[in-house]
Order: sequence, then C-alpha cells, then structure tokens
Amino acid sequence: MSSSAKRALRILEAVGRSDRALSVTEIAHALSLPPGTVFRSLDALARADLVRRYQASSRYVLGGGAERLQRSLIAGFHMREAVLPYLRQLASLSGETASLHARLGWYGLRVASAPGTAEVTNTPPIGEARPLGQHYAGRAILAFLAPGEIMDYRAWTAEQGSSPLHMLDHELAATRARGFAVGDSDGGRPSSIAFPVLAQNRPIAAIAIEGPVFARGRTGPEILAGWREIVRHVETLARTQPGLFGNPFAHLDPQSIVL
Amino acid sequence: MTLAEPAIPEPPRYRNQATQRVLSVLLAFAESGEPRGVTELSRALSMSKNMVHRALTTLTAEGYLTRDPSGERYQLGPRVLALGVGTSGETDIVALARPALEQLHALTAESVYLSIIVGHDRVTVDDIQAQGARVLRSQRGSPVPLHCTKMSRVLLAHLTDAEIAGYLAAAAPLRRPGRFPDPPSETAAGVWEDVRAIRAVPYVLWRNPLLSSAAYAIFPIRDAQARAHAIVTIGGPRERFDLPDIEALLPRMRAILEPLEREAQAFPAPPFLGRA
Repeated sequence: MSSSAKRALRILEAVGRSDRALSVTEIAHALSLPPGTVFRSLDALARADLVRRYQASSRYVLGGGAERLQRSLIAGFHMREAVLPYLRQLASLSGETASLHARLGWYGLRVASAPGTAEVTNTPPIGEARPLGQHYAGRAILAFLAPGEIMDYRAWTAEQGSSPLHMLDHELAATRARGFAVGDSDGGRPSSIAFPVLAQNRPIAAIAIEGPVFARGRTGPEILAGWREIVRHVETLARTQPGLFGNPFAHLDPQSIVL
Repeated sequence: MTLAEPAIPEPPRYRNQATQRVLSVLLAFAESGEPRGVTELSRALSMSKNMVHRALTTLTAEGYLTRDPSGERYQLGPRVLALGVGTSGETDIVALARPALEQLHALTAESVYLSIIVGHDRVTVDDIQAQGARVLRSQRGSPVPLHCTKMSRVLLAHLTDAEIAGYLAAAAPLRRPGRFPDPPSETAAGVWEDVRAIRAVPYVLWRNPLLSSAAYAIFPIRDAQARAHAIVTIGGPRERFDLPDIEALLPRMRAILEPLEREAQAFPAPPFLGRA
C-alpha cells in the first residue's frame, strides 16, 4: 500500500474540510507532517486537479477534480433524472426549492434539487449528507423503516458517539401519523416538509420542499393533498419502473458507512 | 509490494509518481457514475494491471472506492462526500430560461410561460403573468395531458415516434380536458397529424379556429439531439396580440431566445419516462 498516497488523501480532506484556503504551513501543522512532504503531496494533488492554488496565492482550495468526483458519485443515483421533473412541478407550485434525498447507509443524501421560483429561496447543497434522524428528509425515510432497522440506526448513532435526539421516537411516530416529516421550527412554525417515497412499503427516498411552507397558513389541506398526489406519481413510477430507482450503495452494510 | 516504510526516504520524484498513479486511478471515476474494472482502467490509463490493482486496493481501504454490487468492479465510495464540495444545483432549465421569460414579457407585455414534461403531462413550471383587464392566465403547476392543447403537442412532437406511440397507447382512450374545443386531441390519427405539422416548423404560431379569444407563439427549447427540454409560450388576447402582431415581433423574440437555445444544446434533455 502506498502510504504517500494515503498522506495525500489526508491532506486533500484537510483542504476539503476547511472553509478557507490553507497554506502548506497550516496543513503541515494540523497534520503533524514536515512542510516539504506536504508540499510534494499538494503538488501531486494539484496535478490531478484535486486541489488548486487560491487566486494565485500560496494557499490551496479544492480543485475541479474534487467536484467532478462528487458529481459523478451523485450521478450514480439514476432516480435523479426520473424525479427531477416532479421536483420542478413541486417547486413551481410551492415557490420553494424541492429536493430529492436518497439513502446512503444511515445518512440521507441530497441528490437533486429544483430551485424555487419565489423571490427568496433556500439553496440547499447537493451532496449534503446528514444522519437520518437529524434532518426532516432523513426522518421521512427513517420513520417508515421497520422497527428493527430503527433500532439498528440508534445503535449506529450510539457507536458514533452522538446521542440520538431524545424527541426522536415522538417525532417519528408523528411523522408516521401525518405521512410526512416537518423541519425545525422557525418562529413557532415548522419550516419545511418532507414526504417519504415508498415502494413495496419501504422508504427508498424522500422528497422535501425546503422553505417556510407553513408560514401564515400558506399550506392548507388542499395544497398538501396536491403535493402528496405528485409524490404518489413518483411512487407509481418507482413501482412500475423499479430499475430507475436502484441505489448504488444498497449493497453496502449501513453500519460500515461513516462520513 | 511495499512491506514497510523504507528506512531511507525515496527520492521525491519516485514517491510523487506512486501518489500520482493512485490519484489518476481515482480521477478516472470522475468521468461517469458507472462502475469500472481493472482491465478497463489499465487500458484507459496506460498502467499495468498490477499498478491499477494496487491503487484500487489503497483507494478501497480509504473508502474512496468500493466494490460494486457484482463484486467484480469498483465504484466511487461514500468517502468522496467527506470532501464536502457541496455542489450547487445542476444546470437547470428553469433558471436558464428565466432571463428570456423576463425579456419576452418586457417586449410584449403579455403572459409568458415555461412548460416541461412531467410524467405524461405538460406542466407550466415558471411564468410571468401579464397585468390588466384581459390577459391570459396560466394554470401554473397543474398537469395537462400531452395530447391535449397545442402547447402540449409541441412538447409531444419532440419525442421519438416510439415514445409518442407508447404514450398514445397508454393514454387510450384519449381523455379530453374539456375546457376548450381541441379536435386534434380526440383521435390518435389527429394527434399524429398535428405532430407532423409541428415537426415541420421551427416554432408554432397558433390561434384556435374554434375560439376567438387568444393567440400564441410557442417555441421549443431543444438539446443537441433535437429533444425538447421545455417550451416557451407567449400568449395574449387577439384584440392586441393577434398573429400579425406576433409576426412583427418575431425577429426580436427569436433574438431573445437565441442565447437560451444555444445553452440548451450543451446538455441533454431529460429522458421521457411516462408513468403508466
């Protein structure tokens, strides 16, 4: 095994985690490596377009190659293409950004979104992965898993050292009763909504409308029914053309995926 | 191969090359989301199978790659997401078309719509509504079957013959929305005849001969394979926006749409899936 390659990947991750450009010295200090070694690794990473110098400075940020890798991983979720038109329909009806969240182990991963048409809309990043219990889209999936799987999820979060939300059971029960999950409260009202996409009674994804959809009585029962109807069309598609909804990570043990 | 870190550091060039090989194997997975095998990679990268195999082992151990479901090939692993690029949205036809809709509305002062195929329907996903006493109202977000109305059939006409035949078979007996008279939508033969007429022209100027109220210009926005991403429609009441008025504005309308048409060529239109 090439330990210099492993070192390069650690450096790549350090650059990726940082929200600003990093210098050789900063990386060397953070990873306890000699600056010369860091410089050689950065040189190799830059040649592969995985990092690049930030505006001709001596500091580094992620390069186009890193973005292409992530796009490529997301492109493996073919359900994106099937669901995108429905997301556009939801975005045009609600004015808010509509997005598709697929399962990746015990995470929910945002794999597609259609921007809202309202004057101010959220722009949630594609490729964002959150543990299922920690996000409304994930909870729309988690709530409809078998009880044994929800226990496995709890065991996994405990293993990660993060205590599951103490309201999780209550929230999942409410999600099952309503048929959708809601986002965290924003001034007393929940601010987003997520529907599970069920195929053979199993949640394969969630469709979320990400924005203040409950503000000032914007969303009455009739509007909700309209959104639900669109999600049902997606479920019909998943039932009749299951090949379109395959998950490229379904064969991996969810317990083993840690981001 | 390497049993342990060598006691004497290797010359930088050699170490760099080993890293470079691992990184180029990783980058080979950036081109498509599809799994790849050792033989294929060694050919594509001009590297020995042994070298590719070692790089794959390193990248798999690090979680950047994982075996595909068959176990024989490799695909990108979840660890790639740890880079946290957070790509902003995809090339989105609605966002791309917005400036053109605004300019068309500024030019005509009439209602402007962007409509796409959703399942087996046409859905207007963005619009700018004209102001005034007599204007066209869009049913934003609500589905209209692809064989009903001229606007729908402009989207339908840009599917392949096989896709249209599949749609018509699934939609039979042809349902009518019933709000307006629309004879071509009543029979499959009528739909096919209209499809052929639409395909013969680059855009459609239209007023329903059985109604006297409104006139439309309908422009398909196509990809490089001439499949439609969407249609842009401008419509208004005939007393001020009749076909001669539209024809007079056509060169300016087409100039406004030209940049959008060019951008739309650069990426493929979504596949037609239907839902029946």
